[in-house]
Amino acid sequence: MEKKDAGRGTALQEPLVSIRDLAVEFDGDAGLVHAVRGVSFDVHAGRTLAVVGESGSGKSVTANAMLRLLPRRGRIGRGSIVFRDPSGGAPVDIATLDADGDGIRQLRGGRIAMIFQEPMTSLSPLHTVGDQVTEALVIHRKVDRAVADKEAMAVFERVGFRDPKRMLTTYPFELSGGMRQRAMIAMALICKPALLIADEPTTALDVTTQAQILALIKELQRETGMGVLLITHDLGVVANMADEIVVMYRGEVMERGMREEIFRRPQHPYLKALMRAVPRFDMRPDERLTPIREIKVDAAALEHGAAKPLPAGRTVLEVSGVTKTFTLRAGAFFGKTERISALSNVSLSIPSGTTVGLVGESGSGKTTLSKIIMRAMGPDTGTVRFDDGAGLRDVFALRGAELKAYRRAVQFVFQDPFSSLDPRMTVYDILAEPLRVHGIGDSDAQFERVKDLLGLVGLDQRSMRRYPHSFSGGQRQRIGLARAMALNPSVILCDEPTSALDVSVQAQILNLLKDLQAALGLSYLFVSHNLAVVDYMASEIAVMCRGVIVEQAPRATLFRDPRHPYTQALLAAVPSPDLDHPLHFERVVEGGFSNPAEWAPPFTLIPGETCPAMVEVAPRHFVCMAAEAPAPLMRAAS
Amino acid sequence: MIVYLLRRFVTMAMTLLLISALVFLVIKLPPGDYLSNQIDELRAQGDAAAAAKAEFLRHQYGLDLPVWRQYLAWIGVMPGPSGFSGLLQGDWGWSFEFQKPVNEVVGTSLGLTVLVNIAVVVFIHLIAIPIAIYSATRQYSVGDYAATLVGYIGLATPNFLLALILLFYLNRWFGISIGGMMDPRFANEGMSWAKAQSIASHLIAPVVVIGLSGTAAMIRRMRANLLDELQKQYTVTARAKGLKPLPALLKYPFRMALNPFVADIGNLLPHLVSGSVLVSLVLSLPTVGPVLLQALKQQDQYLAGFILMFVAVLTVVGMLISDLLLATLDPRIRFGKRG
Repeated sequence: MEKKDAGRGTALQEPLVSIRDLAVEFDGDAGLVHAVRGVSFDVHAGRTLAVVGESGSGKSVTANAMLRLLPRRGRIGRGSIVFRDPSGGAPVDIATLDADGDGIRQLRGGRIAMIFQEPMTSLSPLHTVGDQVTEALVIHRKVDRAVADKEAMAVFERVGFRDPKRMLTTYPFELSGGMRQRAMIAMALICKPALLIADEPTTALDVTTQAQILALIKELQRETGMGVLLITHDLGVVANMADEIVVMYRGEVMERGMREEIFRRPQHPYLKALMRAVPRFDMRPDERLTPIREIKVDAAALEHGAAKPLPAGRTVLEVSGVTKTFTLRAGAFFGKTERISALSNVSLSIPSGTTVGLVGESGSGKTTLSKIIMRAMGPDTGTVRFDDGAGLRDVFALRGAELKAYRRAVQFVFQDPFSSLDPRMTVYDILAEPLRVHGIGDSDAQFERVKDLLGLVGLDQRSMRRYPHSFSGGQRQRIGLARAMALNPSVILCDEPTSALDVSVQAQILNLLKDLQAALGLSYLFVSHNLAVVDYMASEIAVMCRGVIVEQAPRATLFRDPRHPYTQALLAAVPSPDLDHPLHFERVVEGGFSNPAEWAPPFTLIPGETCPAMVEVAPRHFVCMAAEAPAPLMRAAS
Repeated sequence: MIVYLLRRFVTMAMTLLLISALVFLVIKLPPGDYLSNQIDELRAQGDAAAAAKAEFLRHQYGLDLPVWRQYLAWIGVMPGPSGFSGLLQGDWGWSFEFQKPVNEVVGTSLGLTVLVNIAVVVFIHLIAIPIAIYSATRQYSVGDYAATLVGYIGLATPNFLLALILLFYLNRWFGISIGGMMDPRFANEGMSWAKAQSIASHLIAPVVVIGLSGTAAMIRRMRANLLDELQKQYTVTARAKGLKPLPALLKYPFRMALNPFVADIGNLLPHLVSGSVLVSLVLSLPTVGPVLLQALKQQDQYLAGFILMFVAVLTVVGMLISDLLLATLDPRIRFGKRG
């Protein structure tokens, strides 16, 4: 497939980087693994090339190969990576350089810079941001400390730090995820590289932060004219960022072309399938996502599901007026205490057989709320009530056998499928453990139940004797779901169940959850930061910010008519894989929408002075507005 | 910071008080004491005059007082037979066995103990760190396997056995005597260049013997820590900036890998004092270890008590040092946040 430049109409200058027939191999435990097999593409100065693919498609390996940062077991098998420095010098074939030699080291950080997915782990926690950012400058331009600090401050200012001087002596752990990613970008850009490789730069960030970081990269590109190689699995990000697109699958390029062609006229079946698997806002209520591989729920296994759900529509779980404040002791050396209001006056109810979506960015109190519902911690004030068929009862008053019954009825699916399964237990042990803990059935009955559970989540019976590490992320999440189903719960709390998964696998899991709900009458509290996913799953959605539910409405109403400034900002920040709905970058860069004190009246919330109250603006559509505080209570929470 | 230090000092004092009580209690647990045992022996031999003298001494040193009075007098908060004179006043007590004040008994050996053990600590780190870095950065190479093998042998060989082997073969093949801390002819001389040289040459064997298992253990742990850190993303970030491999390694993963070792300093100090008893016996080193063993056997209570307290002080001070060092090395601890 030759690249079609004719559409641009201009004779393009030579590409910044030309990759031809690149192959990367790894020495695996079971022989040679071909991670990248004959990939070719070009990156041009001033333009963005997006490499799209699922995990394991070889996109990150390709990027690492471009800087010769492959792990020790990996090597470039064949092919060339020709880099033409726009500031002069002969073209260099990176593939032939010594992986630790001077040649490649001059390019690294100097001419080609890279930012990584995890801003939490990409920076050393022991060194100041200033130290780490100026390092590249000191290496490549051999400037002294004062000059380096001055340039670093200029870059800090450029990437949006309000107090550049303070950043020099700040440690990464004092910053939020978005701020760390800005620091990473500052680090990458300080030597004014010709090419920026961004490996999933926003995957670990909240949507509003993601939009800001993307806007920043775009802006900096416009200023410096650098080429950007953007690696991502998020088609929404691609639609908003890329000029050209390369789609990778299993180490090979499936399709490539300009953005318009790819999105308007996808050719390859894989790409088409990928696009159908992404939840969109304009889906019809009954429309189903089409995963690349659909999971069949074993109908026979459903028969044994003994849960008898409440009649549809009756409230199964009700949270009312829950407030929770944490006291932090900041620092062993400077014994200040700090009070943080994690939840204030949160109310929520889940009707039986439905899904309530809870949307919020990190630190909004979603996890605290699920912990309170699980009775893993108690609220300061407020109640959680649960209906097991005999009417709503206060969960915190349950004792003994009743409490045990409640624990069985409310189950949890975790975010991270890798750390939520014990690597030393077989799948059988994992699934049978809840049965053993609650003393259900003898070993034969437990065996039958485990078989049914595997059937429910579409896993093969033979998986029973295997260990979690031999499963993919999606399969592990299905095991986690099966474990949650083991005790026939009536409510499942899903905490970001798909945020660690690829889009096609995400579609699988979402559909599976929906099928199980339809068949067994389960109720879900679905917590996610991804609005499109919540939109697909939930009938009722609550938006949370800094421990306050700011808006709550039926799904269609919320997306059609968001009233609260935070909801509006959140919706505006979601990158849609639809070219006709581009992201409004100029809106998101303003920021401040996650600070309740900066919301426009009447939404302004000043801790200690105003108290959030839900006002019904339309039928079943509640928006949080400020009311006068019952003074002593709120003052304590500030 | 000052508040923190004050708080630490108060807890340290409390800890030491508690330890002193325990130490004294444990020493006094067996029936009798050094002098009463001696008196029994003398009586058995029919030497009434000597027994009477010992009886007088027993009264003189307050050994006939109740245990709690003895304890309080020992630490110096209550007047003993000769007024306030305990640990707090700087009086370490009397050794019955050696018929000397405790400070004279352990004075020189304490100095030598500290000298030997500092040499051991330096030796362990100098040898272990480069080897660990080598084998972590070249995992599964021939060199790594060789270091691992040597490490396991080092871990598995009992110190005293190695000491015996060295003692025997060094003498047989090279005619060197490695026992003792110095050539016997310097024993009663003042410090001189020749004496220092003699001490240094006599240090080599004990340091190697005592330090070998520590070195092997440290290689294994440092290698494992480094391997973990080398996987971390920030290591790749450092290389992506164009840093040379060795500086990148030392600045980032190595510094992270140091943390557990710094945290270990508190345990290291006392262990080195009390852990080398066997080797000291075999090599006849005049360190505190053998003295302690002897004192415990003879119920020489003030001597044993003092040495145990010395070890306790080392532990507590070592802990403080390692905590302060950790806070200096790791800003996350300084600011009390996780990152």
